[in-house]
This record gives sequence, structure tokens and C-alpha cells, in this order.
Amino acid sequence: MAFNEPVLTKRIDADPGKRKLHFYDDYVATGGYKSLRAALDMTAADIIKTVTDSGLRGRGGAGFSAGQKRSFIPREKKGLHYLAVNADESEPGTFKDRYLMDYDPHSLLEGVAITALATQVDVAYIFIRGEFHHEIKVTEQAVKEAYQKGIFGQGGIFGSKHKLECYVHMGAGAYICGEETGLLEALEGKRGWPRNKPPFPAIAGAFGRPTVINNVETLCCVPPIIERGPAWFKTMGTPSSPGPKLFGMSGHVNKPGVYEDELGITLDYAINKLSGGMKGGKHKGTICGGISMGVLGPEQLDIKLDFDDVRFRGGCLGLGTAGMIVMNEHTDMIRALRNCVRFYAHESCGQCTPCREGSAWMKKILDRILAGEGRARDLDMLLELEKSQGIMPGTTICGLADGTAWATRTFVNKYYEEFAAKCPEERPTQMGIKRGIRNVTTPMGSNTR
Amino acid sequence: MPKITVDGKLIDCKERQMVLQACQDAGYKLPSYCYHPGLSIPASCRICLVEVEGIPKLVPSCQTPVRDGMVVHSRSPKAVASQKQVMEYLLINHPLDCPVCDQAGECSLQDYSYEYGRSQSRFEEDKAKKPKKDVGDNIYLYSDRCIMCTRCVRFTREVSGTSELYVDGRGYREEIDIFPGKPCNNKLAGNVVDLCPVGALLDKDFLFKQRVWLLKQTPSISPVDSGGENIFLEYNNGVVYRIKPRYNAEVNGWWISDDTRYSYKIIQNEKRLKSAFKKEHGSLTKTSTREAFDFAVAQLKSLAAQSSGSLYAMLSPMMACEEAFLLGSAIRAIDPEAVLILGPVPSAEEDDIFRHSLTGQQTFVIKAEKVPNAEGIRRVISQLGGPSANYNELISGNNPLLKNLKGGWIVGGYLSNWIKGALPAALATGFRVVQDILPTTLSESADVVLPGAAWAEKDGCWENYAGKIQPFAAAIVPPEGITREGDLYLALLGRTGVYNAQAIRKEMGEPFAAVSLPTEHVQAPAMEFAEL
Amino acid sequence: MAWITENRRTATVERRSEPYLTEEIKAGLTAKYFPRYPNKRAVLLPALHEIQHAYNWIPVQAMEEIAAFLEMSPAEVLDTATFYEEYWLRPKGQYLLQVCRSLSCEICDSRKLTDHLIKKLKIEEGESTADGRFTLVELECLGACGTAPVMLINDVLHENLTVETVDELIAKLPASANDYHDPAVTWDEGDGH
Repeated sequence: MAFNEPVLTKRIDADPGKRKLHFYDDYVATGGYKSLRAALDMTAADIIKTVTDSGLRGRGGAGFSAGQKRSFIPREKKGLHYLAVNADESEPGTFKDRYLMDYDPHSLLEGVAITALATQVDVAYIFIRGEFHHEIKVTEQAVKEAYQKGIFGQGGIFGSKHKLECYVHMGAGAYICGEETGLLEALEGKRGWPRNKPPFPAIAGAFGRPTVINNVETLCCVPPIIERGPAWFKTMGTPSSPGPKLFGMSGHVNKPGVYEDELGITLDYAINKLSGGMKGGKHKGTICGGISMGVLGPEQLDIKLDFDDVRFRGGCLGLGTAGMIVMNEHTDMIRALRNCVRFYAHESCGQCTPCREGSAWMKKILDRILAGEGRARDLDMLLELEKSQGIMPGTTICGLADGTAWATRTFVNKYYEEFAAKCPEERPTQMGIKRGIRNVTTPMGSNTR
Repeated sequence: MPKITVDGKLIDCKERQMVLQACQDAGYKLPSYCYHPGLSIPASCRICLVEVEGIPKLVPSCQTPVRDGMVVHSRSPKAVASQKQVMEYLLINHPLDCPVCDQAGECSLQDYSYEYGRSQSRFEEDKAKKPKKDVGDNIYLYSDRCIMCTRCVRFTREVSGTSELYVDGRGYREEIDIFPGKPCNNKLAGNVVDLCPVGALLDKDFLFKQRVWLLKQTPSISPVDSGGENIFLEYNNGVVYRIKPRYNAEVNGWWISDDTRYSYKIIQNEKRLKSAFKKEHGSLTKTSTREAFDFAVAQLKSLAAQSSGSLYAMLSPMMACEEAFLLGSAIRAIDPEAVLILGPVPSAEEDDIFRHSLTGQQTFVIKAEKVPNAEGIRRVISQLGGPSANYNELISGNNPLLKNLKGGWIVGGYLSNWIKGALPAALATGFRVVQDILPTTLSESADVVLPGAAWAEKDGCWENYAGKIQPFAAAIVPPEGITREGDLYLALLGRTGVYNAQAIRKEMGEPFAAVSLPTEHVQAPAMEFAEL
Repeated sequence: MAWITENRRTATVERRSEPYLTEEIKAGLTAKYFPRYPNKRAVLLPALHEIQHAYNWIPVQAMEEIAAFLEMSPAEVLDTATFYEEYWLRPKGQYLLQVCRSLSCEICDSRKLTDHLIKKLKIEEGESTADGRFTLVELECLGACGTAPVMLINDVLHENLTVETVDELIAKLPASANDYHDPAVTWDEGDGH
């Protein structure tokens, strides 16, 4: 296994000063749309098989097999099929999709077109979060070019019988729209409340029709796979997590940024080789894939960054988006956790009780601990509340609350002493009233109006 | 038919049914807030999570379809822990104001809190404070009590199709609200109060009137239109305090119109006739029902003796079929050629049809015909045979039968003044016995006035527009001084004994004989308290 | 005053005689967005963006007009509009300063930027300056963690900020926000289809 050349970033210079936005002409000049032309000669089943054989796993966070996801779309077409591109990149620590759209928007469009061929898609919506003003403009321009060059539109893809429309749909500031069914609701003009599954989007997605939903990076992996084959793709990464991956390095490192390497590199390599080493002090912890995945502790630098090792040895939820937030020894982990939990309390869509109420409660507890009023049982409380939230125990519809849970679980457990220092055992004061407990003498609910 | 096992009990289910609904149908209660059989399933409150063998996660029973042989545990430690946790979450921001909350006693939050809740809150932070809102002519929203089950929002979108309510904001800050100045005033709006599993949506009409555990329920039928909506009259100490819908899949489903909901007010109308009058020396004088009745009977008999076919009975579509049958029979006993006239049948221009706001599917109809029993009276008149007419002919005077009328028994009982404009000529002359619940120009010019009982005060049956004959029962006794129509008509027939609707229906033959009150119905809040 | 009942039932909405959703905006939406989706409802997000673009916020009256235009209930428009943070249902300043507060930015001292702006503009977070020039808010992750701390000024992202560069940026803002554009967009932004 080796990573010898950039794949997803082959058009993006490592030197930030030399990076250049590739529109159609530059894209084609550097080998663009070759894969799409090749795909036009393949059957839909062949395209799906090639992607499945490559072992490509979704780069949006869940790591589900991309080929398998496509195969769920009904073969027999009874109406419109949709493709929704998830460019609602809002997970703290994640900025890889922005990077791809910023410099190489056509690689996304090529991935869209190939996927559309494979799943008989008629309309593709690229759902870009509203705060990505620049990326929306870039992508819209690229789409416009693609229409002019005969890729999209009723003329058929390069004049073939496959017709594909492609539109940019602008989000409006809600993290939950990165959840695939929340995204579909937003696409339909509703509040982004995730839907219950089943039915899965592949059967009844956007506007009730079969819909493929893929992350930007996943789609960008498709053209190289078609061009160079699944065997080549598998020379990178690990057997269960093949391929190249964009690692977003941020926080206390000397050279933060997006780096491409193969899956399965160690955290140590990512920090010291890719992003120039620690800044401001020793390594204390790294959020490994966006804050919802949890944190890798100071001793976990040997963890391999792939879809499995982070989970099984790292004690986190998974690799997620591989957006790493590296924290040095001076970082206040309670503050860091409060930041994460505040994020989830703020972004909870409010549908399921455990997430809506639980995240806000946990934020209030952490606020209190930070205000110096913590006590030992707060930590037990946090660890108890955390267990009741998420799609993994089954208490919520979507996976947002798993983020709250895993962040809390890993932070509190891995930095227990730091937390415990702020949450002392209660001791009686002169008045006989325990420290830090405000409502101990009054019954439940007495602090309502 | 699939069979599932829930907590060791074998439950028969329908194909494609959800576990929760199958349990409810089998009389086995699983906790639920957001689930309502008449609405879409969001599965968002998460109180109904259960364990299913073979599935590692907890699943919401409300949207998990049954599978033959499925084994469900709702009381396993894992399921109970989850239910407790959800209860705790719902209560952390819920005010402890049950003593002043209308919902107390019929509140799912209280019920489940009793089962799953903790006696002490572990939530020591400040509670979120949300405002009270006036959201409709009949509805208050106390946001701080709301648990965001969104039943009300779904109702306005999926049943009334009016979409007035919406969810404002997101996450822990979200609230139910209306667009400013666009209140929830649709004709089905009151149902959102019934739907609310907690005390967040409140009926202004019922607010602070009565503790619900003091109320008793009697099954009844809506008096406001020919739809025949099934209702419960809820009353205490002889006073009806509110009307709630009674589920009937074939008629009204789970819902009732607001007209039905507030129709009980007629019972308490200040203007209601409460004693009998008889005309003496040209003016109406208060008298006893007995005396007025005897006077009326004597007069009618003497008119009938002069010429056959000179009497009539105007049967109101507000009357029970049994009453119409008895009065019709009685008037024919006095004058075999007496004319039976169907009273006015007021009607709006067209039915009010409600549709799902997205699918356009019809969800509810408020009938245009604003009386409950026109069909039933027509059926009784035709069963009795003989000369008959209707109110329009009475006005137009076209029916030759109506030329020789000298005296009659006129029944009103409408919920509002039913004499529009001047009295029809045929009703303005002759000897007139008027039986009504509200005074009208007719009762003011009558020779004998007898006060009537409202529908909540008597037994009987009505036939709705679709030919469905539905019985209703007396919840309360009429005010002092009012004798129920049934008893009067029995006296008019010269029979002894008290009016018994069921027995009269037997006498009337089919299809009435087969009609009987539902023996089992949903009981009022489970807890019984002695009246203080 | 939580014990006072808010009267939503007869609440009045501030109105002006001419519509916010002008015939021109309607025509634009009809031409550009109606063909994109199978139903009108799906045009709600673009329509709200369009109104916000034209007026810098979304007045209640405009939402009523959108509801009529897209054949839905005004409450449903609010349902969607209040869910998304980017829609301003109250007026905001000419320049919206949005400082990212999520983890990468926080550990790179984004709070210093906010505190500095609070002092500099003499407003609290969430408020606008009296002259209507600036509105300051903190928001969750902007997806530019590698260049933390970051701030959006209207449509333009500014990265690797310090208190000094923020001061510089603000000093250089043109008098009118209409003249403030993303310098990286060098192509003509017309609509191609």
C-alpha cells in the first residue's frame, strides 16, 4: 500500500500561493471528463460494479460502501431519479469539500455525471451550505460551463441519450441539513427535520422519488476509479478502507490545511509529516473526524486513520470526515467539550426529545462547571445523559445526537482527571448547605415562574 | 394475520400495522406522545421505544411494522430505562404547575410520570422560560408546558388543511406558534386542544371551569348538523362543561367541529323556556306543564271532533325519532287524518370539506344541513303513513291538505331562532301548541307553550345524512319545570309509564329496533375520586 | 414578563403599501427556479434568499407574499424561515460580521476577535450598531478550520485573522456594501441556463 501521487488534489498545488481555480478548459487540459466519456460506453451495472469493486466508502462521515448505496436504487425506472450532492459541510473540523469546490469544481461535476449514468438519474441537486458563498459562485459557474459544453441539459451527456439536469441548491445555515434526509427536506423547502427510515432515500428520497445522496469527496473519487480501475484504487489505503483521503488538519499544528494521503496513515504521521508538527506545546488530544467522532487522547498517536482503527482501537465513533482538530497541552478540555456540546445544542433540529433536551441540559451542566460550580456528580450525570442519545442506542432519528454522545464520552473519560479537578466532591459548608447546589432546599420545579 | 408477542402476551395484528397500534387495538397500552392514529407518524417523542428481539437498537414502536413472530419487550430494563430517561428530559423544562393546569387528571405527562418519573428532579439548572400565547378565538397556548410532539401542527396540515400552526425555531428554543395575526380559527380548531397530550393547548371556554376528574362522560351525538358526529358529553352536578369527540371510524373519525364542541351552550342559554304558558284573555300566562298540557289536549280534541283532517303535528328535525314517532302516533289517535309536517331544515349553501394540505385527500366534512335528524323524521313520517307535508309547502300554501288546518302541535327545539322573518300564514292562525327550548315570535303568539328538553337531557336516536341511525343518552336532567317530550307524548297517547327510548324503538320496528347505545366506551380519566 | 399572555391572534404586522415580492422578483423566481423542482414549495429556500438579497432581511409581509406566491400557508413559510439561521427576520446592519466560534476557531482564539469587535463597535454579540452599518454575530463552524480563526463579512470569507487584520479589514470596507464583493470572483456571474 502506498500513496505515490495526488489523486483528488492532482490539480491543486501544495503551495497555497500557487493554487489555481480550474474551470472547464483547464480541467479538460489536465485529463478531465475522460472518465465520463469512458463511462458513457459502460452499462449502468458495470459502473456500479466498478465502484463497488474499488471498495470506495462514503467520505461524508458514515463510511458506507458507495457502490452498495448506488445498487439500492431500483433498476426498473418508474419515474424521475434524483441525485443530491451533499456539500453542506458544517461539521467543525471539516473543510475538505470546500477545498475541492474551490479549486476543482469540475471533478465534482464529472463524478455527478458518472453517478447519474449509473443510477439513471434525471436531476442532480448540489446542496451547498449557504455560508459557502464563494463555493456557490464557483460551482454555479462550473455548472454553467458544463451546460454550455453539452454535459448537462436536454441535449444529453455529450450528445448521448442520457439526459441530466444539474442545479445548485443553496442551504441556509443548519448543520442538520448535512444529514441526508434533513438535506432532502431542505431541498423540498421544508425545515430540515430528518426523516424516519425506512423508507430509505434510495427508494423514496427527494420528492418521494429514488435518490442517491453522496458527499462531494466521494463523488470526486469516482472519475479516477473509472479512469484507472478498482485495482489501482485499492493500491492505496487499507484492505477495508481503500483509496486516497483528504485529511483536514486544523488547530495547534504548524501548517494547518487539507492534505491528501492514503487511508490508514497514523495520527502521528498526519500531525508531524503532513502538517508540520505541533504548535505551542505537546500533543494533548485530537478530534479525529469532525467533533462528532470524539477525541483521540495524548497516547493515541499510533492510531491508524482509517474507517476501522479509529473506531476499534481509538475508542471513537469513527474516522468521520477526517477533519482533525489537533489540540496542544495548554488546551482546556472542559472548554473544548463545552464548545462541542454547545454546537450540538445549537444545531439540534429539535425533533427527538433526547437530543433536543439532552444536549441543552449537558451544555448547561458544562457551563456551570466552567463557571466554577462543578461537582463530582456532574460527571456521572454527563456520562449518564450521553448514553441516552443517538441513533446507535436507537433513541433518536438521526445521528446528530451521537456526536454529542461521543464527544462527551471520549472527552470525559480520556481527560477524567482534568474534569474531576473542576468537579470536586461536595463538602458541607458552615450553613450546612452543600456547595454548588442551588435548589437543594426547594422541590422540583420551584424555579419556574 | 401476523401475531406478535409483547411482554409475553400474544397479540393479533393486522398486516402492515405498527406495533404500537396493534398493542392499542389489543388493549395493551404502550406510552406515546407524538403518535396519533389519525395523523402521520413522526416518531419523534421517543417515549414508545421498545426492544425487539433480533434488533440491537431500541426501536420506536409507533413506526415499527409488525412481523409475524416478532417478540417485543416494552418492560425490559433497557426499554424502561429509555422511557424513564425520555420522561426526565420532557420534565426538565416543564413547569410544575399541575395544580393550576386544566390538563391535570388527563395528562399523559402526569400518567407516565407516575409510572416512569422520578420523585425528584436531577435538573438543577434554570428552566427554559417560554411565553403564553393567545393563538385563536378559542385557544391559548402555554408554550412552557409544550413537549413539542407536533400533533397540533400536523393536525392543521393533515386534517383541517389550514396550516395555521407551525414550529418556530429549532432545537431547545423551538416553540409552536401562529403567523402573527393569522389565528388558528378554522372550524375544526378545537381538536388541537384534544390532541395536546399535555396542558399546552387550552380551550378558553373550559379554562379553569372544572377539574377533569370530577367530570363524567355520556355518549351522545352532535346536534349541530346532519353529519352525526359522535361525542361525549362531559358533565358534573347536572352541568355539562364540555364536549369531546368520540371515535367513530365511519362517521367522524377522531374529530368534531367547533360548532359541535360548543353546542352544549344551548343547554345553559339564559333565554331558555323553563315553564309552560297558556293563552288567557289574549295574553300568555305562566302555568304548570300539567295544566297547559290538559288545556291543549282538550282544545285539540274538540277541534278534531268538529272535522277530520283539521289537526297537524309539525315534527322538528331536532326531535329524536322516538319522540316523533310518539307525537305522530298521538296526534293521529286524536285525529286519524292529522297531517304530519316535517319542520324547517335549515341548510348552509354547501358542505364544508376539509383536505390534507399536501395530498388534497378529503379528511373531514361538516355537512351543510344544520339539523341532526331530518332523515330520521322523514323516515318516521313515512313509516306512520297518512297525510304528510313539509315546511316549504306550509309557507307556499300549495299543498291542499294544508288548507283546512285548525290546530296543531308544533315542535321547535332548534339551537337558534328558527323563525326567520314573519310567521308563515299557516302558523299564524288556529290553535297552536308550541314546544320549544328558546322563545320565538311563534311561541310568543302561541296558545300553549310547553318548554322542551335539550338533547343532552334526553334519550333517543338520530339518523344522519348517510342513513346511519345513532342513539344518544341523557347526561343530565332538564331544568326544573321542564317535562321531557317523551313523557308528555306518552301522556298524550294516554299511556302510562315513563319514556324508554330503547322500548319505543322496539315498538317502531326496523331499522330502529336494532339501534342500541354502545355498551362499552372509552371511560373518562382512569382515576376515580370521590366528589368533594 | 412571562406571565403576560402574548397576543399573537390579533397581532399586527408592520406593512407597507408596495409589495416586497415585486413582479420582477417573481418573474426571476419563476424563470430560474420553477423549472428546477417538481413543485412550487421547493422554491421556498431560494425565494427567501432572494428577498434577503434584495432587502438585506426578510420582513413578515414579504413572507406572507411568498406564501401566496408559492401557494402555501404563511405559517409554513415561517416554519421554514425560522429553522434556518441565515435568514434574518429582523433588520441587520449593512455589514454582517459573522465570527466563527466552533472548536478550531475557539482554540485559535476566535473569542479575542469577538471581544475586540464588541469593544470596537460598542455593541453586544447579536446587536447592530446604531448607524446600521454593522451587525456582529458569532456562528457555528464556517468550514474553514484550516485557516482559523475566520470571519464572514457579508459574502466574503476572511481567514487567519488577528485583531490587527480585523481592524484593517473593517477600515477598508467601502462606504456602501453594494460595492463590496468577493475579490476571487473574476468571472461574470450571469445565470447560464
